[in-house]
Amino acid sequence: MGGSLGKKKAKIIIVGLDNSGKTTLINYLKPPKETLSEVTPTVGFKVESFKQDKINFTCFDMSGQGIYRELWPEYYSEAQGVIFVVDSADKLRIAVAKNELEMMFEDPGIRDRPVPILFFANKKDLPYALTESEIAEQFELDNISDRDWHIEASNALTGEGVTEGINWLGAKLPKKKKK
Amino acid sequence: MDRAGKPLFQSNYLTCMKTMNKNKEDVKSVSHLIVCNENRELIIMEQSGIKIKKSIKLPSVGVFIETYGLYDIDGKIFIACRDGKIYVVKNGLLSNQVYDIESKPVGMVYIDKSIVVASMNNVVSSYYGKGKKNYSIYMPCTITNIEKMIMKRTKSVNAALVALSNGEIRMFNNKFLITTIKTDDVIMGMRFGVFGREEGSLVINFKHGGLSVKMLQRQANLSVSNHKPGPSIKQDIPLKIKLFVELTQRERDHSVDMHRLFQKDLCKLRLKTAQSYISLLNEGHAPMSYAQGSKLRLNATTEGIGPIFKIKLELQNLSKKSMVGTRVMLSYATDIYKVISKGFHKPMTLLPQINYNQEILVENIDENGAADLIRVFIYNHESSMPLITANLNMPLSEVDLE
Ligand SMILES: Nc1nc2c(ncn2[C@@H]2O[C@H](COP(=O)(O)OP(=O)(O)OP(=O)(O)O)[C@@H](O)[C@H]2O)c(=O)[nH]1
Ligand SMILES: [Mg+2]
Repeated sequence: MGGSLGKKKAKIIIVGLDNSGKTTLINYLKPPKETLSEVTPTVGFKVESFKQDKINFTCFDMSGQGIYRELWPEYYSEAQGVIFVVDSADKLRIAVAKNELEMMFEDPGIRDRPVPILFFANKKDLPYALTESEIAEQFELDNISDRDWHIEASNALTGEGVTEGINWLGAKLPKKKKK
Repeated sequence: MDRAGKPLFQSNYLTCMKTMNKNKEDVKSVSHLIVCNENRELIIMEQSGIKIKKSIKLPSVGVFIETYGLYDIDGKIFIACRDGKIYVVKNGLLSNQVYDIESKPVGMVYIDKSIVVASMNNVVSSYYGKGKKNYSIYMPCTITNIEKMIMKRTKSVNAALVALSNGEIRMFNNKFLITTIKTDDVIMGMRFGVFGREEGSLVINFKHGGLSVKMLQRQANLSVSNHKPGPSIKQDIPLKIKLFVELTQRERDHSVDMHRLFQKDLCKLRLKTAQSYISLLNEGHAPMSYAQGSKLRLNATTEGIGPIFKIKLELQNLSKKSMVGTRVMLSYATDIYKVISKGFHKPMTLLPQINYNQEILVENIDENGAADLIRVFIYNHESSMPLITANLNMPLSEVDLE
């Protein structure tokens, strides 16, 4: 605990299918003067930073479009935590999201490192949205035994559930201070 | 209903339709609607869609249309018809190029510069643009649908999806089976393309009303190289050894002689068989006889455990004429058997197609009940050769203890 500012830093990666609300979610967490009034689909990826619960987060906001999903694994090994965003109202593509999740767990960058994973069951405000327990069941999250995980229902537009989720992640991050 | 005074009309239904771009490849550019109807016509609509641009008479009713290229730039229209042929329309004219699929079409797709047709004889055949057959794949059961699967990813995919009546969907890249998807119902229709946000989606419609959406995994590998094509695998041919080479050489040099020799032997064998069979029939040794031009059948059996046995004879005249003066005679070892029945020697007249039954009692007089052969002859006064013979293997006899 000898850092000049005594503040924790964390590098995280945020993934999920296109249109799930990743950028919107990050946008909510950013300081008011940096927030965008309109969120557009991300191309490739974007590096963002925000402060939450005394931790400075550096965040890789990946694009969820099919052609860009190949980029995700490039950043896994650097990440101390993973956020996986699901559009809970996109029932049809739950299977696709699950497939991507399975591929993520098979990647050495995640498989061999027990980094915590936070799931956002986003867009919970939409009618017919699946609940977090339904998504956990579909994703068979109970089978994850080698790391901490948590699922939080959220609305990235209003910020509901977002800070709760990030606080959970912050608490699970390695205690050691990062330079 | 009173139809008087009203004109007769013939109802005409559309059988299939398709669009063809006019002069730009772009998905959203101007296109022509092309339809076929029950009146054996192919109709190309103006781009406005309200006027007929061209109407072409086909030799049969078109049921599937596929297009290739742009209408204005030498595009081709392929029409699979009910007569089992595929006709080609080019530059607005029916060309004389015809593909004969030898069955009725159940679906047609255009993939990779070739037409792939599924037909009612459970075959998927592919033809090159020029009309030459590329390959045929045989399916184990009826084909219900065929759909093309084209995806432009890092590696592009050009595959044909073939739905079968057993609920399977088989994916072929060229003639190679890439994968099989199993479903629980018969597939009535399927379409591959973009569904919502997912580009590689296959929407399947089932016979019992179900609807299913399958999405292609992002990293699915559909290239042929990963999948060993069954029949085209190189066979292991053993090295040619000297003996084999000599043998082949000999066969090559003397092929004519060898063949001739074989034929001669075969001929001889056949002759010998025929001769033996004829003599068997003529000498009356077989259960069927043609001796003296007669046609006779004799069936002889024994009954009983001894010492008295009953010999049952069944005689049938199979010819058209009646036979006069036929007699039954037994030949046996007199120290073993004694015939009890009398009068069976009497000449009989055998009328055609009637069964004659005779029962003869014989007694085993051997003190140990020995078994022997009894031969039954049927003969007439015309020849000393029997008409027919039957050999009866008598069983061992119970000894009369009295
Ligand atoms: N109703 C509702 N809409 C949301 C919510 N979160 C995001 N959206 C909307 O969903 C759309 C997609 O959001 P993005 O943040 O661009 O999604 P993304 O995951 O970053 O997408 P890519 O960058 O293409 O991977 C936007 O129109 C958002 O306004 C939510 O919680 N509720
Ligand atoms: Mg985004």
